[in-house]
Amino acid sequence: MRPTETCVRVLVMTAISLSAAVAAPAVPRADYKVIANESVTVLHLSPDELRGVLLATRTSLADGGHVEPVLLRSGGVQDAFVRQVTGKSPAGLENYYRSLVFTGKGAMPKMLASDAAMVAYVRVTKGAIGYVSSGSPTEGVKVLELR
Amino acid sequence: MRAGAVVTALAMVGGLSTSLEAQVGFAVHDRPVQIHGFVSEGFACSDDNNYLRMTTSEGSFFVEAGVNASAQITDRLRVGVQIYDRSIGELGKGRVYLDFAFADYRFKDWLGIRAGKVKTSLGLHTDTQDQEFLHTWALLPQAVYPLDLRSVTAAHVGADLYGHVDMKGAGSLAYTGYVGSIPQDPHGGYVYSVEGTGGRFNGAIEGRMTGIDVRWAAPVAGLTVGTSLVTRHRNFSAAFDQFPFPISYSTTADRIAAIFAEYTYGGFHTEAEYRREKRRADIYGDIPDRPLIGSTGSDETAWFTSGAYRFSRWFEIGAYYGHFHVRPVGLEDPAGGPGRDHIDDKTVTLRFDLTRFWEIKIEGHFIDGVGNSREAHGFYPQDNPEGFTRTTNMLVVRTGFYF
Repeated sequence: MRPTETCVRVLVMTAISLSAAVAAPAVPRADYKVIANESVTVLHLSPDELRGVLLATRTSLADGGHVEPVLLRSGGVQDAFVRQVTGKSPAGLENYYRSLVFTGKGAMPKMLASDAAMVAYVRVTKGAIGYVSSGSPTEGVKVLELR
Repeated sequence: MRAGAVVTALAMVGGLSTSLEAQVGFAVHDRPVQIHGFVSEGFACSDDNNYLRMTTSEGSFFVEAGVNASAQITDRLRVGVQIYDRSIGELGKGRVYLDFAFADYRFKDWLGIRAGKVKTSLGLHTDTQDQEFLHTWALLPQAVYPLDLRSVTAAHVGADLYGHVDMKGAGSLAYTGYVGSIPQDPHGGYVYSVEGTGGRFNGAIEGRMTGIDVRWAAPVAGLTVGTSLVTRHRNFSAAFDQFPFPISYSTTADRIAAIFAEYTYGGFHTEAEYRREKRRADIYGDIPDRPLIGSTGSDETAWFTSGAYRFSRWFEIGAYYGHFHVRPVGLEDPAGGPGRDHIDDKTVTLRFDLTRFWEIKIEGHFIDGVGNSREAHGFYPQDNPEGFTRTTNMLVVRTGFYF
C-alpha cells in the first residue's frame, strides 16, 4: 500500500470520527454544583477551566493558586458529570489517570465515596475542587459558578 | 513454575481486589506518597512460527510486573520512580529495569521540565506500552508498537520541556520536546536482531534522540489529534561472520514521523496512527584507516486502525488492523523473499473487567508476513531455525491486576 493511500485512509477515518462527533446527540446535562476549598479565590470557572482541572492539565486558576481535582468514585452525579465535562466515561477517566500514574506524568486524584465525603474533604483541603449533586448541602465550601 | 506461581498470586490478589482501595500510599512530612503497581500474566500459542522470542508454537507463558512511587514535594515539584520486570521468552529474562525516575518542575501549566529517565512521548501509546491493562488489547498493534523493541523506545534518559495551552474555545494543545540518550537492553529486540544476522556486539550501543510531540484536544469532546517527530543516532561496534574484521555502524540519518488520532464517544473508542521511519547508516571497518565498507538502512511504514466498544463496565470487544512494511536499502538482505517485507496483523479481542483492578483478555491474531531480517519485529531466525511460514495464527490469553 502506498504511503499516500495510507494517509488518505487515516484522514478519512479522522473525518468520519469528527462527523460522528458533530452529529452526536448531546450528553444529558448533569444536575451538579462545583465546589472548592475557601482558599480558591475565584468565583467562577469556564467549562474549559473545569475540564482542565479535572484532567489535571490545569493546576492553577486565574488567582494563581494551586488547585487539585477531587473525584467521586461512583454513584450520585458522577457518571453524567464526568461524561459532560470531560467527554469520558468514569472508567475512561480513571484509565486516563492510570496512564498518567504509570508514565510518571501525574498522580491519581483523591476519589471519594459520597457527596458528604466530598464536601468534608474539600472543606479541609487547600486548593481542592470537586463536585456534588445540586441538592447536596455544601456548608463550609465555596460553590463556583460555571460560565 | 514461575508462571504458575504468578497466576496463583494473581488469582489470590484478584479475589481480594474488590475490597481494595485504588489508592495506596503513605505520608512523609504531610506530603502524600502514592504507590501503584501491576502484574500481568499471559499465555500465547501459535500454529507455526515462533513469535516475540517465545516458543509460541508449543505455547508459552509470559509475565510483566511494575511498581512505582511518586510524591508531590511542593505545588510545583514532583518526583517519581518506577521499576519494571518482564520475562517474555528471551525478552527481558527477568531483569529488573528502571522504567522511569525523574524530577518534574512545573513553572506554569504551559511550561514544565522533567529530567531523569523519562517516558517518551511519541504517537498514541509509546509511553504506556508497558501497561497492557490501560489498553483494550492483550498486545498493542505490533506494527507500530513492537514488543521486542519496547525497552529502547519507551523511555529516554534526558530532559523534557512540556506544557499545556488552552485555546479559548478551540480546544487545547499539549506539547513535549525532549532530548536524551536511548537506553540499552541486552535482552531486547535490537540486540537480538543483530545477533540473528550473525552479529556479536563489541561493547555498548551508543544512542541519542531528540523529539517533539504535539497533540490537540479538539473542542469536540473525546477527539484528540497529534503528530510526533523524532530523530535518533546510534553507533556500535560488532563482529559479523561475513566480515574478516570488526565493523562499526553509525547512523547518518534516522527519522520517525507520526500522525495519530483517537476518538471516544460513549462506549465507542477508535484510534489510528501512521508512522514513517527513514534510517541510513555507514559501516566502517574497525581497523586502521577505517575503510568505508558500505551504506545500509531501511524505509519503514507502519500504521494501525482500531475500534472498540464497551458494552458494560465489565465487557469490551475490539478489533484492529496493523500493517508494517520495510524496504531495505544498501547492503544485500541475507534473507529476502515472499513475506519478508511486511507484517499484516488482523486482531480481535474480548476484554473482561472482573473488578476495577483485575481484567482478562482473549485475543486472536491472524498475521501475514514475517518482516525483514534486519527489522525483526517479533520474528527471529534463531527461534525459527527451520525457516518461516508466511502466515501465523496466534491466540493470546492475558490477565492483569493493577492498583
